[in-house]
This record gives sequence, C-alpha cells and structure tokens, in this order.
Amino acid sequence: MNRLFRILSLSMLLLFFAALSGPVAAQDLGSGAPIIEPNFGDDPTTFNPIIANDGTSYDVINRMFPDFIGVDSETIAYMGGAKGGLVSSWDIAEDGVTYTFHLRDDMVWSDGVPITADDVVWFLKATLSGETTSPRQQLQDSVASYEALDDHTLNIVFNEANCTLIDTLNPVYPVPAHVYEEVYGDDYAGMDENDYNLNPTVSGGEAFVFSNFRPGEQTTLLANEDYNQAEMGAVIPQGWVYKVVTDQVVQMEQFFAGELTFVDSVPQANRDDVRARGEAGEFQTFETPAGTIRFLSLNIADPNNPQDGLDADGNAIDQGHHPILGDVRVRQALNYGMNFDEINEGAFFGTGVPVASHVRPTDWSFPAGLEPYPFDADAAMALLDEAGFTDADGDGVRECNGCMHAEDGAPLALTVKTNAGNTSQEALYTILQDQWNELGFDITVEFVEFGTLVSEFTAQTYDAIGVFWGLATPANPNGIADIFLPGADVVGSGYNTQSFNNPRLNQLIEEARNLPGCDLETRKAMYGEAYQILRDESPWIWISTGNVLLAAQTNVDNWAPRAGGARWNIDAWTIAES
Amino acid sequence: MTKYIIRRLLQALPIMLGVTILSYGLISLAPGGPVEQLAFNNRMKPREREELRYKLGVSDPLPVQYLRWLLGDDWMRWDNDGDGEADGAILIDLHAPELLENGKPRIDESTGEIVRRAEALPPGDRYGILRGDFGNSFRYKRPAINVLVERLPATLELGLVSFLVGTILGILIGILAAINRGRLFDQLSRVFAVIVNSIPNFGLALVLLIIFGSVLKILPLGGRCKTTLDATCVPFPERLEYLVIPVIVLAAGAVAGYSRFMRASLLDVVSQDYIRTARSKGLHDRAVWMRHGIRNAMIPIATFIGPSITFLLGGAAVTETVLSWPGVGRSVVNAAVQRDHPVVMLVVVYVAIANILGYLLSDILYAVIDPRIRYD
Repeated sequence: MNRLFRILSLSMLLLFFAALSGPVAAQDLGSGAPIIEPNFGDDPTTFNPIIANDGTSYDVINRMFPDFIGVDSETIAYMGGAKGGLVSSWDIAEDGVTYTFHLRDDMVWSDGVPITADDVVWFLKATLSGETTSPRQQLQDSVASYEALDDHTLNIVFNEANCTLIDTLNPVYPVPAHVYEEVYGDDYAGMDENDYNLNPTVSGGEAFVFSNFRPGEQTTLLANEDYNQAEMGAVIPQGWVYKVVTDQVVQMEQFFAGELTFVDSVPQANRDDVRARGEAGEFQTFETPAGTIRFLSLNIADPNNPQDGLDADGNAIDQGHHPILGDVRVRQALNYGMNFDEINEGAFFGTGVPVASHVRPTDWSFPAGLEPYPFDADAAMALLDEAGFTDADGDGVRECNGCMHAEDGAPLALTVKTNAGNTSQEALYTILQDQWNELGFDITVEFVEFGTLVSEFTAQTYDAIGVFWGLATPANPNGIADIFLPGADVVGSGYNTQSFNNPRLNQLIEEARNLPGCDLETRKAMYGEAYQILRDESPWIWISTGNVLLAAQTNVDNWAPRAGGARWNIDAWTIAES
Repeated sequence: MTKYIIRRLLQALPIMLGVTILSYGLISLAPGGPVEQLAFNNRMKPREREELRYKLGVSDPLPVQYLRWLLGDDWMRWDNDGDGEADGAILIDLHAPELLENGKPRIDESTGEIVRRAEALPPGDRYGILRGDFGNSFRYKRPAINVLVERLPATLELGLVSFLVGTILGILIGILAAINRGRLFDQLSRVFAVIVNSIPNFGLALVLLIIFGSVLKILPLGGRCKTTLDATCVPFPERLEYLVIPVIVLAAGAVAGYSRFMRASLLDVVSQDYIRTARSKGLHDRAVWMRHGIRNAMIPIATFIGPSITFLLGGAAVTETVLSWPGVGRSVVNAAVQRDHPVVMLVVVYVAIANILGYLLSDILYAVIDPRIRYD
C-alpha cells in the first residue's frame, strides 16, 4: 500500500510537471512566431535616435532603445519605473531647475555592457552641440547643464523652472556611448553620413535588438535575450518585422490573408467589415481615441500682407485684417453652420467625434462644460447679418453691406484648401462647401498637393486651410503656445499662421506653464479658460477627432492594447505558428 | 559607326546640361520645399526650420544651388590654413547669420547689416555630380547614390523580365495575328490590346492581386520575396512566384503595343514586291514569312526596343507602389513628394543617360537589322 501510494504520488508529481512543461516551453526566449507589422510608408531614415526625425524611424527605435523616462500605458503619463523607461524616479531640488534622475541598474546593451548615465550624457552632448541636423531646439533652449553623478544617477539643470520640463525631455534616449564614441567620435556634424546609422551593431534595453534592414522591404529585430522587463520572464516573439506595404488595399488584403500579425490603424473604408468580422471571432479588435485632430485654420490677418507676430523687441506687429475672416462673428457663423452629423456620416463613416477646442476629451486638461458649437443655421445667419454680410441682390450669395473689413459689395467668398488624395478630407470639405453655401457663402474648395499646401499655410497667404494636427502623447497642453501665441506667428516657418493674438490667452498659457508648485488642478482651470477662448474666438474650426481601430489575428495570445499604447506588452505576444 | 557613336555622345552633352537645368529649376521652384516636408512638426521652432534650410543649402539663390550640385562647393568656401574653419568664400557665406528666435537674421541697428556668427563655417565638402558626388538625400541623410543603388537590383530584375516577356510575347502574337489576318486569333489579339490599353496599371495590379492572391491564394500578395527574419531575399529562382503579377502588369502593355506594331509591320512587308517575287519563285509560305517577312518587319520594332531601356532602368512607379516592389520608381515618387532634390536629380540624370543610350542603341540595332542603313 505504502509502495502503491509512493508510485501514485510520483506519477501525480510527474503529471504535474508534464502539465507545466507546456507553458514553460512557451515562455522560452523567441519561442513564438515573429510579429509582422505593416509599415504603410517609407523606409526608416536612421536607427540613431540622436538624428531621427520621422515617425517610421521612431517606430523602430522605440522597439530597440529604452525611453529615458517611460510612459505608463494605463495613466498615459510620464512615470519613474514605467516599463520601457530608464528612469526609475527623479527628485526636483528646491531651486526648481535641478532635476536628479535615478536610473535603473539592471539594463544592459546587447553586447552585455550596462546602460548607464554616461549613455544619456552622450546623447545630450551630441544633441546640445547644435552640430547635428537633429531638430532639438526645445532641448537646447531648456537644458543648461548635465552631469552623471555616478553610473545610475544623472543631474540635469534647466535654464528656468516651469511645469513642462519633463515633457521637454521626451526626445532623449540613452545610446550606447562606448560604441558611439568609437563610431562617431566628436564629429557630430558628420553623423548623418555614417553608415552605422542603418547598421547598428549594439542596441538593447527594449524587447528587441537590431538584426537587419532591407531597403524598401523590411526592418527586422530579434528577441532581446537580456530584456528583464518581459511580462512572461522572456521575450516570446522570435522577432519583429516592420514590413513595407505601401498600398492600403494591399495591406488589408495581407492582413485578411494572415500575412500580417496586426494592423494599428484599419483604414476607414474597412472598419465596418473588420468590426463585423471581429465580432464573428475572425479577428481581435480594439478601438481607442485617435491622437490627431482635423481642423480648418482661418486666416484672421490680411493675406495680401503677411507679417510676423512680433518684432525683434517682442512688440506686436499690426497684422491687418482678413476682409471676411477678420470678423469673429463670421468665424462663429461658420462654426454654427457646420452640421457635424451629416459630415460624420458622409465623410467619416460615422467614426468621427466632434471637438470643441484644441484638446481631446481624454486629456487631463479637458475642462468640464467645453462643448462644440451646435448646428444652428439660424444663429449662423443672424451672426452674418449682424456682421454686415447680407444678400441685397438676391443671388444667393451674401455681400458686404456695412461689414467691418471688406469693401461694400464684396461677396462673402472664401477659398478653402485641403490636401489632395485624402478621400475623407475631400469628402469633408465638399460637404462643408454645401453647408456653408446654404448660409450665403460662396465657398470654393481646392484640393492641393500636401507640400504645396504646407508652403501656403506657412506663407500665411490663404483664406482657410484644413489639415490634421497630431497632439502629443502624453498630452502637453502647453503645445498651444506653438500654434496660437504671437511668438509662433513667423511668416514662412511659424505655425500661428492664422496670426491669432489674444492677450488673455497669452497670459494664461504663460502662467500655466510657470505656475509655482505646478498644481495640476490650478493649471487645468487655466488651460480650461484658454480652450474656451479658442473655441469662442475660433482661429481654427476644430472639426473632429476619431477613433483608431486596431486589429490582430486571433492566433495572437496576450494581445491587450491600451489607450496608452498598443505594444506595451509586445514581448508577451504569443503567436501560434499557422 | 564608331565615329557616329562618338558624335552622338558628344551631341548628348548639351542635351544633358539642358535637362539638368530644366529639371533642377522645376523641382526647386515647385511650391513647398524640403524644409516644409521635413519639419512639419509642431515641436520644431521657426529658428530650427531656418537652421535646417541653411544646413540643406536650400536658402542659397537657385543658381548657386545648381552650381553646387553640378560642380560642388569645395571651391566656393575653402580653408587655407587647415584649421577646419573656412577662411575664404565666393558665392556663398563664409559666416552664417545669427538667427533670432523667430528664424530671422539678426540685424545690426547701427549699420543695418546682418550680424554674422563669430565662427566661420567649415570649408565646402561637396564635389558636384561632374566629379561623381550626387549629394546627400535630404530625407535619408545618406548619399543619394546609395538610395538609388539599393533599389536598382529590384528594378532591373522586374524590368528585365517584363521587357523580355513583353517583347517576345508581343512579337509572337503580332506575327500570328498577321498570319491569321481576319480570323478569330487576330480579332482576339485586337480585343486584348484594346482592353489592356484601357485599364490603368494600378487597377490591373489590384484586380490580379485580389483574384490570384486573396481569392485563389496561388500567388503572393505583393512584395519581392517572403517575409522572414533573414537579411537577404532568397535567390531569384526560388521566388519566381513574386514576379508573376508585376510582370503581367508591366508586360501587358508591351504585349499589346508590340503585337499591334508587329502585325501592321508584317502585313505591310508581305504586300511588298519582293515577297511576291519570292512566292512566284516557288518558295514555301513558311520560308517567305520567316526568311523575308519577319526579318524586314522587325526593322520598325527596333526603334521601340532601344527606348524601352529607360523603362527597364527607371522602374515603374505605380506598379512598384501598389505591389510593394522595392524599386527605383517607388523611391523616386517618394523623393519627389518629399522634395528630396538630390535623389530626384540623381534619377533624372540616370534616366536621361538611359534614354540617350536607349535611342543610340535603337539606331545601332537599325543598322544591324537593315543592311541598307550605313551611318558612316
């Protein structure tokens, strides 16, 4: 009996371990099939984070270099110790400008060398030299000095104390200093031309390490065996392939055929189909708010005489007035005359979300009570009447009859331009043209090649231009300063192309940025008032943000995207070979 | 013949110069420059955009930009004492202007002149295309020639196969249509030509891709080879299936064109007196068609074969884009959209040379096929 018991016990034990052996095997490094993700664009330009300046390059860099400060994927905020970040915590000295960053001590490069403060120092040294072509002026203007106190402690002293300094460090990455020193030396100006940019031998600190780059075809990373933040103890996918697929129809056909692991933005035309098939269990799907806003910029100033917002001494320069859009009542009438529901159905397949101002409803600074203009044609027409634009001759187009800035008899005519080739933009402005013409406008819509459109936008010679704007993640409400403050009104290169200048808004933005103690609620109230001013004054018409639809194959286990990141646990995605 | 070739090549030099001036002017004067493309980013400040404009050299007057591209700038700004800072310059700045926060140069109020930076700029380091330096791609930040060379094998592979398939099939169908004039095959070949010429390449590519790739699942859905973790594609013979759809798309037009030309040419030839003479001498029909008809009918076809080399080397932008084929055509379209002047100009020069050589080859073929042609 005793012997039988022992045999049974042993058998049970063996069965227990046998049962465990499955999951254990699945958790071995690179035991899952590789992830194949489509790159609907051009090749990455570099894998060197110091000179990277395009989204495709960052898509790869973010898989193989750690962030300096990680972003928590649940709260969508910078956080010490967040997965994927080198900084474990930071202290701010009483002077408000000295930040001491404590770095993780368990991260290593792919050649086994520890990732230390020197690696961040090398990045800062090269970037702040001003010799590279990397666009990092924000960093150059903010950082006064930096010093590695020891291998895992870094001091950064800023030029002034304000509430956005952590945001300023967004472009910072640790780079393998021991390799970069050898490869680039101090020739920062010549960094662009170095072949190492596309053939890095050392990466690490993230789930994958660089393997190879096939121009025009794909970039390949392999599972990082030294990655110690893996959800399942080791990186499961064998690798990550960023495959160039330059046509959206082909991209979706490849996804439907199972050639792509997941798609991080299903085109609008395919969304209903993918949603339905997702509900039927053919795919996994996830919807999350988009990071972009569609807007129509309204030129408030005289388009025949574009002027900078400020002179060399910081004094405001007279901008003149746009003959029609210079009157806020006309801008408000355009808002009231926009029937969003009709636009949403006709141009966005019902996926658009109306926006009231320069903030997403999911951002921390979004104020309660901020509402988009309702569709109210009567209110729009009353405003136009009040502004002195009436249809005296009965031809259906209003003309100036005692208006503020146009000559009497001048028709209420505007040219609206948007980027050609984007079907939803083209549909949007075709619908808006009809809606506004109903009010008595004479709207001409032009679809213009994107480069040309940007050129006209910055030249400030337009009436109205509609494009997209990406909002920072994590949200940085101070971004308003780059679009609506007079300092950004620089003909040819600034983005306050509508020449908006509202003293109260300028004051709010400045105060919210420099608020002593940076109390979040106080700042939120300040930004709330700023958003309300923008909504009421309407230098832009904020039209819509929307949701992005992500889709993955059903054989991807642990695919659990969050609003703060689709790939936060990419190391755990387990893809059964099909 | 040698003298003729040399003369033609010498005549090509002013043509090349004209092509470069015209192309450089067109791309530089097109609205929206490289800085607008590279720096459409709200994190960038106006001063940064101006700095970038300066670093890319696109803030100089257009003739200076063209001269730099053609002849380099090592003679425009030089370093006599070898300290790494230039101490002499013509046409371009020795010292860059100091830029204000808004990107505008600082002006000395007392003199009204632009304030210059204390340190001189480094000496020019570009040699110009005449000395083999095509400059760095604005976007890719590496030599433009590398961007082209990386894409050339894929373009040659697709171009060569499409060219061979298109030419051989086109000529064969043309011959058969001529021989079977008025019969079913002739009518079908005409209908085929009309249909193929009516369908745009991208439409044909998508239709074929969906039918054979998505529905029947017998051909791959674009690309040049299977997606793997490897650094290179498998050898050419092991991935022929990836060529099927792009070759059909590109060769279809050539088949339609060549077949109609060949048919017309052959019918024209067989109505000539010397064919009637051959027949009256009792030659068999096959000998008349093959020995006398086809060879003479090929003469006008030779004029098309030479210029086809441009297509062979220049890539097919639309097909490459739709089918994710990593060739030159796709990259030059991207470069044009992104105002990447060095890459666009390199491809312009390269295609212009291919064009000139193509027409020259055509003339040589003409003389080879037709013994009556003598260039000397």
